[in-house]
Amino acid sequence: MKRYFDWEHGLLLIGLALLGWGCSRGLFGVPAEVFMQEIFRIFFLHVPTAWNSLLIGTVAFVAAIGTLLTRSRRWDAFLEASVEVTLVLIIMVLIQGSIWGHGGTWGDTWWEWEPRLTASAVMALSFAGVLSLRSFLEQFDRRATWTAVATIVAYVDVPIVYLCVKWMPGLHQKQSTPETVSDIYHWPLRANAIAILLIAIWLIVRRARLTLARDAARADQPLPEAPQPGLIAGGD
Amino acid sequence: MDLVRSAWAENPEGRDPAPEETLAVETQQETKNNPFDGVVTNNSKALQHVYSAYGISLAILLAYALVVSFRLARYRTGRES
Repeated sequence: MKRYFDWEHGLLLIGLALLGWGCSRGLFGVPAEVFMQEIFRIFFLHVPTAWNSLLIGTVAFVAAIGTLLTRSRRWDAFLEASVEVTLVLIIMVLIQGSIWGHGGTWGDTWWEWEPRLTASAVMALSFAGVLSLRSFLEQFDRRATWTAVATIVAYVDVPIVYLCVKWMPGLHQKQSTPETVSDIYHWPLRANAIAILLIAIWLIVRRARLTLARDAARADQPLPEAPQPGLIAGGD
Repeated sequence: MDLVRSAWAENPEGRDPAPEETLAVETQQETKNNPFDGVVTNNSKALQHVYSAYGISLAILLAYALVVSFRLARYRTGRES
């Protein structure tokens, strides 16, 4: 049996090492924030996950453009993978944020209909919708085109998620940048951001390989027998 | 994250804020119309939430990675046999 050790496993190993370091520093290494105290430690996972969800969402948008321009199976596999990974990341962000809010920061609430949360929920539903639409389409050209167009439409919400805290200030804080976060928190934050990015790249490449392998397996299968013309016409 | 920076500048040792600290009072006043109550005091409950958030997130990542890896391995072995 052929052994596979694909290049992306190197990224995964580096990503896991960085994630281990970043999470351990965030959980146990740095002091708690003065107002939010211990619940603030979710920050070291929540913010990098949110950054990467928007970044990978942008990658999906680029993949959609590439799919429309080239109509190649590789671009289509890349598109499906990046949409799926974006959905996984944004679901993680919503869960982390919900737990953060319930942990005392926003009182005992799991959810508030404020702009950032609502826009993020719309983003999750949009990307889930793209995958749902894709699952109904069998023929490659239609599936690739519809997925790409739906992804471009869904991507409209990504800049809204990023900018809505400026446009429509609500409960959610503004964007975290090196200027607005204490120096001592920078490195755990950066480590986790790079770690999640590397793990996301690993997931995208693996998921794209899966799509290509599945398509190749289907191409190997014999075509089903063509139905008799009389059966289509009604049997006469 | 202005809150973090300003709070950190006021409290470089990471000590617990005293109730009479001006910043905390101002924050509570600024946000009295929303559910944020300013200062989180129940740290054991908070830590449970923190560990839950990390655990659920990593479990989701792991589960997704396993599903993708197993399906990919199945297709690859299927093509070889």
